[in-house]
Amino acid sequence: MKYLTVDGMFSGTGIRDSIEGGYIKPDELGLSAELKQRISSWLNRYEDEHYAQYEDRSIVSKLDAEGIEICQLLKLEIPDSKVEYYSAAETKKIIA
Amino acid sequence: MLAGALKDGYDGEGAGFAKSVADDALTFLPLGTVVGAAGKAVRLARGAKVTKGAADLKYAPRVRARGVEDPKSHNFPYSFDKDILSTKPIPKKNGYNIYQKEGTMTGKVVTDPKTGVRTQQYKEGVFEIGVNKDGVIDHRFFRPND
Repeated sequence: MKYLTVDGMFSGTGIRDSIEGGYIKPDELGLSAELKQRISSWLNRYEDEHYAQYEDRSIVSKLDAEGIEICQLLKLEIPDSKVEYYSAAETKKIIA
Repeated sequence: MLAGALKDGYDGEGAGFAKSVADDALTFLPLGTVVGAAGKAVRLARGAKVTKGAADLKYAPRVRARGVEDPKSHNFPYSFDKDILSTKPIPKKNGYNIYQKEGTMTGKVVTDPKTGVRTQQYKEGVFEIGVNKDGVIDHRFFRPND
């Protein structure tokens, strides 16, 4: 069983090891090219919002909704996993 | 490492940055010396000056929250900050700047199955700080090398 946390913090990889801490490269998890691209694109947009200090709440909500979607996709690609979502903007876990 | 990190600045009981900065100053020696006190051994690249404190720097609350959530990537001594901030900034959008400095963080402790000898491993990488347009630090991160 893998315990993962999806996290949009811009210097990370988008996925953390919930138990050991630190970030995991999508390649190490054997994710599909499509999902890796999706995570990369989402991280880039999350990064822009960090620089903008998360002032536009509607964009932050959309980014977090997309992050939760990524959690679902991760679960599909790694069935033996428990995936949580951490909002980098809100600095808190959100039930995925 | 995690326990030490939590003990030293993120005790969750309201200990302020000033205390953690003072602890860091006492715990870490300059010029790349590795110190194992409190189970937290990290160092900046050779030649780096470790300043005595960073009490005059401003931090966003998210820095502490991040350090608690994932200390492995976000918690390192605050006494490093001034030295990291002395590097050339990498400008980003909206007046945001990122500062980076090479260094070392503790990794896993590996036990030799034959001898039982435990060895501390270290990770080379980059300490990274982000400063917003108002001069407030809202990002502290250790990025391990590949």
